Amino acid sequence: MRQLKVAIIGQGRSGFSIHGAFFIENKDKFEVVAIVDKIEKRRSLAKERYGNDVLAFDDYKDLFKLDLDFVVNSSYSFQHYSITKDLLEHGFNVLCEKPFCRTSEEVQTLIDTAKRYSRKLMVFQNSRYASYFRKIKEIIDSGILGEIMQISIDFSGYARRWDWQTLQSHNGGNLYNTGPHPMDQALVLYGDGYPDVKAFMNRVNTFGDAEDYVKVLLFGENKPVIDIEITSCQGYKPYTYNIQASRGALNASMTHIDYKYFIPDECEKQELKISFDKPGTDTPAYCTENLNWHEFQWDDAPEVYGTFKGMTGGFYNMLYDHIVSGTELTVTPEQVKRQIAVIEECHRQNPLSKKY
Amino acid sequence: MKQLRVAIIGQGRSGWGIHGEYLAANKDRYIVVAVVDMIEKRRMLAKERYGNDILTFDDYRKLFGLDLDLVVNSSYSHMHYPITMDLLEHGYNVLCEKPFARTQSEVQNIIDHAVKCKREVMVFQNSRYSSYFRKIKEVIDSGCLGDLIQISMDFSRYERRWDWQTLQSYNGGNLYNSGPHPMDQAVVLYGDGYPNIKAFMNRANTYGDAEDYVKVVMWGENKPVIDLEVTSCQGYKPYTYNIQGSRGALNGSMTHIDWKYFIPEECEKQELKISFDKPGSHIPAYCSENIQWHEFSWDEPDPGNLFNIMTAGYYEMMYEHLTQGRKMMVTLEEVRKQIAIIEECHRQNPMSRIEF
Repeated sequence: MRQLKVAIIGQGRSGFSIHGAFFIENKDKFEVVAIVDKIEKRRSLAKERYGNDVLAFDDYKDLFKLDLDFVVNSSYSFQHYSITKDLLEHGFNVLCEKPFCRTSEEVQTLIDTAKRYSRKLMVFQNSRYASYFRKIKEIIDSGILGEIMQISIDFSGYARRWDWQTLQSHNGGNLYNTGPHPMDQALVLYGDGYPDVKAFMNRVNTFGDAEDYVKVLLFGENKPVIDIEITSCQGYKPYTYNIQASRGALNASMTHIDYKYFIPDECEKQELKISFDKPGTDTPAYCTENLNWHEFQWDDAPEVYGTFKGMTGGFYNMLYDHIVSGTELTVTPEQVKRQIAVIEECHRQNPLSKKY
Repeated sequence: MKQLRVAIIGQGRSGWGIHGEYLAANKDRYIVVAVVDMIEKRRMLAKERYGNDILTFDDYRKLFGLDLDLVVNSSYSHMHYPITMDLLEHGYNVLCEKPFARTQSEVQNIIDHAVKCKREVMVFQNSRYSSYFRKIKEVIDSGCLGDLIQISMDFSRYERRWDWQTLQSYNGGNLYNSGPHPMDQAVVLYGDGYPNIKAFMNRANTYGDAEDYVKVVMWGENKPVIDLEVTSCQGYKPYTYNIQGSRGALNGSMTHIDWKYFIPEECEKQELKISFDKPGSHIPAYCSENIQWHEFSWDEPDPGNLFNIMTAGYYEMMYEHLTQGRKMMVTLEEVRKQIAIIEECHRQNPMSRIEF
C-alpha cells in the first residue's frame, strides 16, 4: 500500500489532536515527514510523537524544498487562504482545515490557482462523514418522512471562550469556527442552488470581539426551512437534529436518532367537516384520530469507533483514494464555496465592531 | 357579590367547552341568561346545562334588547369582527374570542367603535394567565438570566385536521387558531415597539386551505430574537419555552420549568490568550472552565387543570374590570400589535385559496 508523505502546518488543536492523531494510527497510508509550528515546545512534542527524524520548522516556507504528497494546512484560520495559495503555487497538493476562507471570492481564487498549477485542493469538512449525518441523510433520501418542511440543526452549548478563535482578526467566531460543520451538512440537505439567508449574530460571553451567538435561517422555493443555531448561551440543548415533515418526523443527537412515519393509506379516511360531536353525544369536539406511527431508532457505537474518529477516518479514506487513484472528491471546493458564500452573507447582515 | 348577566354566542368548542364550562361553575359572579347557536342540538344542550329558563336563539341579533352585562363572542373566527362591531353598536360590552380580528385596521375599528359607543371590549387572551408563563416572566424579570439573547417558543404538535379551523374563509390556519396564544406572550416578552418579522407558512397535512405550518422569527434592536413555531408536523416537540441568556438559560414545558444562571464574580478570572496547553503538558488544549451553575426548577401544582387555571385567571380580572373598573392586564394595544404581526406573516406568505 502506498504511503503518502505528509507535512502538517500547525501542531495545535487541529494539527496535533485531529490530523496528527489520525496519521500515527494510520501509518500504512500516511507518513508525517515534516511539521511546522511557531511554538518551540510544539515542535518538540511533534518529534516525540512522529519520530526524531521528522523535520520540524517554524516557517511553512521551509517545506518548499521537500517532496510531499500533500500538506495539511491547519494554521490559524486567517492564514488558511494565504498559505494554501502559496502552497499550491509551489506545487503542493493541499488539505485545508475549515473555515476554508473568509470569502467566496478567496475560495474561487484557490480553485483557479489549483487548476492553474494542476494541484489537488481539498477541504477538511469531516462532518460530512459523521455516522449520525449519514444515517439522517439515508432516512431523508428514502422518502419515508415525506416532504421535508423544516430541518433544525443545533450545534450550541454554554461556554465562555478566551482563545484566538474568539478574534475577528483570526477569522474566529462561532460561525467560522464551528459553523462549517453544520453549514456543510445543511447545504447538502438543501440541495441545488443558493439559499436565501437570514442571520442573527451577537456577542454574549466572549472575551474576544467575534460573535459567540449565531442563528441562521436558510430557505428557498420548494425547499425546507433550515434553522441552524451555533450559540454559546444554550444551557439546555434540545437536539442536534430535529426534522418536521409531511409524513413523519426525526429527532437526533450525534449518537442516537429517533424517527417515525405514518402511511396515509393506513389512516382513517377523513373529510372536511365544519362541526364535530364527541362520539355518542351532542357535545362539541375537535377532529381527532390516532395516527398509526411506524417508529424506529438508531444508535451509534462510539465505543467501537468514536463519532469524531469515524468522521476523520471517513474523510481520509476518500482523500487517500482521490490522491492515489484519482477517484472523485465527495467534498469539493465548489461545494465549500457555496458554504463560505452563505457564511459571508451572514456576516454582511451582521457587521460587528472590531476590538482587537 | 354582583352577578353579571351573560350571553354566549356559539356553543362550540370554545363557547361550550371553555366559557360555558367556566360560567356554569362560577354562578356567584356570572349567570348565563342566553345562548346563540345555529345548530339546534347545541341549543338543547345549553338548556340542559344552564337551565330551562335561559333564552336560546339561532341568530345573535335576537339578543338585541336584552339586558346584559356582557356578551361572549365565541362565534366562528371570521365572524368575530362583524359581530363584535354590531354588539358594540347595540350597546353591549363584549368579550371576544381569539383571533380578535383578521387585520390591524379591523382592530382599530373595534377600538374606535367601543370608544364611540362607550362600551367595553375585551379579548380572551387567556394564555397570559397560564402559570408557566407567569413563572417564566417572573424568572426573566428577576434579571437572573442576564440579557435575553433568544426566546424559542414551540406550540407545535403532529396532527391532521379537517375542521373549519383549516379554512382561510373562516380565518383558520395555525397562526389565527393557536398563534394568538404564543404571539400574545411574545408581544409581552418583546416589550415596547413593533418587531421585525420573517415568517414561513406552509400546508403539510391539512384538509383545508389554510396553513398548518408556521414559523415566525421576530427581532429588533436590543431585543431578544424570538423564534415561534406553531406547526402540525412536529413529531418530537422539544420544549414549550427555551431561553438563551447572557448569564443563564431556561427550558420549560407547560408543567415543568428548569432554569439556571451563573454569577460572573464566582467564576475564575480569564484573560484573552492565543495558545493553551493541557495542564502539566505541552499538548494543545481548548480554554475550559467549570461554570458554577445555580440551578432551579418549578412544577405546575395542578397539572391536570392547565386550561381552567388560565380561564379562571382571565375571568377574575375581567370581573373586577367590569364591576370595579380595575385595569385589564390584556390591553387592546397589545392585541393590535399581535394582529399586526400575524397580518404581516400572512402578507409574507400568500396562500392559494381552495373552494370547498
